[in-house]
Amino acid sequence: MVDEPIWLLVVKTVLLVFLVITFFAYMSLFERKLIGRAQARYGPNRVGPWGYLQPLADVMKLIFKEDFVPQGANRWLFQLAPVMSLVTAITALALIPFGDPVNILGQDVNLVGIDVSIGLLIVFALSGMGFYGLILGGWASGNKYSLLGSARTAAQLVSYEVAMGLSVVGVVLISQSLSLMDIVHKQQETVWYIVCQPIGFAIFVITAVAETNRTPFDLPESESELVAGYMTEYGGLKFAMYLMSEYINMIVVSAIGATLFLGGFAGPWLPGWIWLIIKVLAMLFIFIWLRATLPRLRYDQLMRLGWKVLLPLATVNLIVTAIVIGIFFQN
Amino acid sequence: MELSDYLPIVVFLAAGLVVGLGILALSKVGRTKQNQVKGLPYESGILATTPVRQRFSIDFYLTAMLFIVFDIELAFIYPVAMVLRDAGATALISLLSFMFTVVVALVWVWRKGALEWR
Repeated sequence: MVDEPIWLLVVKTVLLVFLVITFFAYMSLFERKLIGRAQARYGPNRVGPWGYLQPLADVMKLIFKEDFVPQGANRWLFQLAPVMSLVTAITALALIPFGDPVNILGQDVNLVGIDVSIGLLIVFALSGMGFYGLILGGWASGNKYSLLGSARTAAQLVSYEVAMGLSVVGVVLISQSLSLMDIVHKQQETVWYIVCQPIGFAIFVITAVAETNRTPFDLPESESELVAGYMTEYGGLKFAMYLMSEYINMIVVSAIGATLFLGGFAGPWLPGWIWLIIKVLAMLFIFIWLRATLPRLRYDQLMRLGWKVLLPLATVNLIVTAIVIGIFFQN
Repeated sequence: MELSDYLPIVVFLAAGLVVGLGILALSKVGRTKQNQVKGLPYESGILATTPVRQRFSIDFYLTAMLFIVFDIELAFIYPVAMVLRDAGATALISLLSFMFTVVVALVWVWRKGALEWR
C-alpha cells in the first residue's frame, strides 16, 4: 500500500461504487438474457438496440412506483432494512484487490480500497452484518410469509457461514496471511490455490451460492411457496435495493473467491485488473448457469447438505491440510 | 498498523450510506395513496385470521445455537492457522487436539439427532 491523499481515496471510492452499480444494472440484463436463452426465448430485447436500455427503463419504472408501507409494519425498520443490506454490500467492495499500486500522472494509486492484515475477517464480518438487513426487513414487514422467510434466511445463512469460514482456512494455512493482497502475491510466487485446495474451492463456491440466496438455495425468497419471503411486502426502489445488494454481494463473493483460489489479479500479459474481471465474470456466469439449470432444494435437504455434508467435508479438508502443511511445509 | 489505516473502510461506508439513503429518498417520488384494504398484509388474497408474530419451530433456535458453537470454533482456528508454518509441532498438536474436541462434539450432536430438520 502506498500513501495517498484523501481526495484520491474519495474519487476512487465514488468511481468504484459507480462502476459496480452500472455493472449490476447490466449484469441483471445479462442474466435475464442468458436465462431467456436457456429457456429457448429471447429475453428482453425491445428497449433500445438489443434491449440494452432495459436497465434504464426498469429504474425509471421503479422510481415512479408507489412508496408503500403496510399497516402492520414497523415503519422505520421496514424502510431502513434494505439500506442496511445495501450499505454492507457496498462497503465490502473496499476489500477487493484489483492490482499492485500504479503510477497515474505522477500520483501513486492503490488499486485496492483497503489492504489490512485482517482483510478476510472484515469480509466475513460485513457479510454477517448484511444478514441483518434481510432478517430485519422480513421481521418488520408484519407479514407471515416475510417472517417465515426471514427465519429461514437466518437459519440458512448461519448454517452455510460455518462451512464457508472453514473452507478458506486451508488458504490461510498455506499463505499465512489474512490480507487479500498478500494472498494474491503468495499465489504469484507459487501456484493458484485451487490446485492445493480443490475441495476448499468447491465448498466455497457452493456456500457462496447459498450465502447470496441464489438458486438452488433461494429458499428465503422462494416465490412459489413463500411469495418472495422477506421481500413479499417490498416494492419499488426498496425492492430494488434488496436486488442490488444481492447482486453486489454476488460480485463481492466472486471477487473474493477469485482472489483466494484463482490467483486474483495474477495472470500473464494483460493488466491485473482485467484478469480479475475475467475471473469474476467466469464465476458470475456459473451463478447464472446454476440458476438456469437446477431446481430449488427442499428445506430439510438444504440443512442436511449444509450440516451433514459441507461442514464435515470442510473439517476433514482443514485437518488434512493442517497435517500436510504442519509436517511437510514447515518454515 | 494504525487506526488511520482503516480510513478507507469508513469512506466506503459513507459512500454506501449516501447511495442507500439516496435511493430511499428517491423512492418518495412516486405518489402514495393509502386505503384501508391496501395496507393489510399480503396473504394470497385471504384475510389474516391469526396474529402475525407466531411461535416457530424449535429447529431454528437449535440451528442458531449450533452456529454459535461452530463459529466460535472458527474464530479460534484463524490465529493458529496464521502461524502454523512458523510455530512448528506445538501449533500443529494444539490445532489437532482442538479439532478433535470439535469433531467429537459434531459426532455427538449428529448422533443426538440435532442436525435432523423436522
